[in-house]
Amino acid sequence: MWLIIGYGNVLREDDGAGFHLASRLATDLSPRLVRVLAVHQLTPELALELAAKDVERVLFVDARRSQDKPVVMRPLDPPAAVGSCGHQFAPELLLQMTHSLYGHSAKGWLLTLTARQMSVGDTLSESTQSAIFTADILIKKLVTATVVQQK
Amino acid sequence: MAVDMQQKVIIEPITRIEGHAKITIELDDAGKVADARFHVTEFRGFEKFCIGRSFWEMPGITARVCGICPVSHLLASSKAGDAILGVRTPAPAVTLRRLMNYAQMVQSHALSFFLLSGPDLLLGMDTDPAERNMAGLIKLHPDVARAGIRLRAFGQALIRALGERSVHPSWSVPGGVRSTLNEQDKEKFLIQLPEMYTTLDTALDLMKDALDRYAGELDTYGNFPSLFVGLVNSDGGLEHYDGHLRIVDSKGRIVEDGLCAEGFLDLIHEGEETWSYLKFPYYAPLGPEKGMYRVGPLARLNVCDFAGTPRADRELRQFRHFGGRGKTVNNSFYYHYARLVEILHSLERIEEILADEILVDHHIRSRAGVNQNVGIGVSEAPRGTLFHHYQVDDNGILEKVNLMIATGQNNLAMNKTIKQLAGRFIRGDKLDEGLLNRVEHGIRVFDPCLSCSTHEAGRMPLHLQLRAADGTLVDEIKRG
Repeated sequence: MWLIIGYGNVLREDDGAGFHLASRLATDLSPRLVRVLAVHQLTPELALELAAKDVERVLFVDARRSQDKPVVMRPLDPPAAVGSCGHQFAPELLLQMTHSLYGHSAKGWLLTLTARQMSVGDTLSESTQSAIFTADILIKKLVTATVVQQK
Repeated sequence: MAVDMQQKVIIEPITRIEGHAKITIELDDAGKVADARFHVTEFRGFEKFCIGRSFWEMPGITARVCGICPVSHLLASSKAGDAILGVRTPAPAVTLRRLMNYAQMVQSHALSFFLLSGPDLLLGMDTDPAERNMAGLIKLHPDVARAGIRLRAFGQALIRALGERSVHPSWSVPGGVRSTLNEQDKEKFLIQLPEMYTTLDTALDLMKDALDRYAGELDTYGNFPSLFVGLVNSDGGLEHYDGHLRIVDSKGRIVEDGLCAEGFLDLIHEGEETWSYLKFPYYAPLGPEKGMYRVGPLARLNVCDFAGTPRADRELRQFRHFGGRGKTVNNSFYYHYARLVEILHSLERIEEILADEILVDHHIRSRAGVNQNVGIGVSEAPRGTLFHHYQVDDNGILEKVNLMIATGQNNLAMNKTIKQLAGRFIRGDKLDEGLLNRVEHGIRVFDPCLSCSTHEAGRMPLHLQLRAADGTLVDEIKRG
C-alpha cells in the first residue's frame, strides 16, 4: 500500500501546496488503495505510520521554491544514520528512523510542487495551483498502476 | 564574534528556534566569567499585528505562535475571550479544554524528555556530538525511543480527536469549544493508557539513573534561589487550566496566594534590555534580582501542596526529597524530573475525564457579544504560566494585546543558569565540546519555546571564541 504524506503551512500561501494536494487525494482515492495524511509538518510520531506492515511505498509531498518544473519526483535515499530532530524533520530522516526503530523499510519518494509565493496568506499562486492539478493526475495514475501491477 | 573592551565568549547562532538567539559569555580581566547573556534577536510581533483584528479570531491566530504548544495559546486566548463575553463557559467545554491541555502536556513533555533531552541524559554530556543525538539514542536505547514516540503520538492523537489536527487546532473559541469527543475515541484512548503508564515507569527509572550519573555536576544547571510561580486549584493542588496564582520563595514560603491574573500582572514588571527581544519579567516588590522567578513544571511542583492523583502524588513525594524538608527544589536540572511527574499526572487526569459522564453533555458553547472591554486568559503551558491580555472596543476589535509567555518569564533564570555553567566549566585557555554541550543543556532544561534549535542536541551550530583582554584569540571551537 502507498502512504502519501502532504505537508506545509496553509497560511503561508504556496507553502501549503503539499497539504492541499493531500487533502484532495484523501477525498478522491479509496482508503483501500492508499493512506493519505495532510499535516502541517513532519514529526517523529509519523514513524509509526511509516512502520505499518502494509505500507510498502511512501510518497512525501512538499512545496519547493526556485523549482523550474511544476512537479518533480525523486526517490529518497535514507541517510546512513539518524541525526538530530528539532522543528524541521526531513523525509529521509523519517525513513531512516522508521528502519532503525521498527526494522521496516518502505521505499520513499519526494514529490515537490513549485512554489512562487510563501508570504502570509491562504491563497495559492496560479503556477502552484496548476502544479497541484498536474501532480494530482500523476499520483492517481501511479497508485492505480501499482495496484494493477500487484494484481 | 564581537569583542569590546571586555573579553567575551560568543555562541552564535542558536538555530531552529521560534526566532534566533545567541549566547555571549563575558570574561573579566582575571579570565573569570563576569556575565552571561541569552539574546533573542528576532521580533515576531504578534502583539502588534493582532491589533485591529477581532478577538474572535485570536484563538486561531495565536495558536500559530508555536508548533509545539499551540494548544496553550489556543486555551489562554479562548479564556481571554470568555472574559470579554462575560458569560459562564459550560462545564463540559471546560472539561474538554482541560482534556486537550493534558494531552498537550503529554506530547510536549514526551518530546522534550525522550527525543530532545534524551541524548544528553542517557548518553552523557561528554559523548562525541556525532553520537550524542537521536542516532545514538536509537542505537543504545531503541525501546526508550519507541516508547517516547508512542507516548507523544498518544497526546497528539488525543489533541487531533478533539481539534481535528494536532498542530495549530482552532477548536476552542470564546465561550466554549466547537465539538465534543465521540464514544469510539474515548475507548481508543482508554485502552492505550496502561502502556503509557508503563512508559512513564521506565522514564522515571531512567531519570533517577541520570540523576546519579550527573551527581558531580548537577548543581551547576541553574541551582540558585528564586521565586516560583504557578496556578494552584482552590485546595492548593496542582492545576494547569484554572484556579489562582501562587508565588513561593525558595524556602517554600508562600509570598503571594489567591491571585487572579489581573492581580498577578499588577505585581510583575516586564523589564527590557537593548540586547534581546525577549522581556525580563520579575516580581516588582522585590526588584529584578530577588524578584526573579521561574515558571513551568519545576515551579508548578514547587507551588502546589499536592498533585491530586495517586501516582503523581507518590512521585511528587520523592521529588520533594531533592529540595529538603519543606523547601522547594531549586535546581533547574529537576525540570526534567518534574516533566515526568506532570506527564503521569496528566495521564491520570485524562483517564478520569474520559470516564466522566459530563462528556455526554453536548452543551459546549455559550454565546454572547462583548460584555467586557478587557479580558485576561491564563493557563499553564508545558513551559509555564501563559497570559493573554486583550483590550477591545465595543465591537470586539482589539486595541491592545499583551502576551506574557513562559519562556520570557524564565529569561532571568536562563541567563543565570548559563552564567553558572560557564563559571564552572570555563577554565584556563581551552574550550571544548563538553562546555558547548553543557551550555546547550543549560538552556534545554527550561525547554524554552524558542527552542526547537536549543533542542538540537549535538548539532546546534555553535561558534565559541575565547579571547584575551587584548583581543587575541586564545581558543576557538565551532560546530555546524
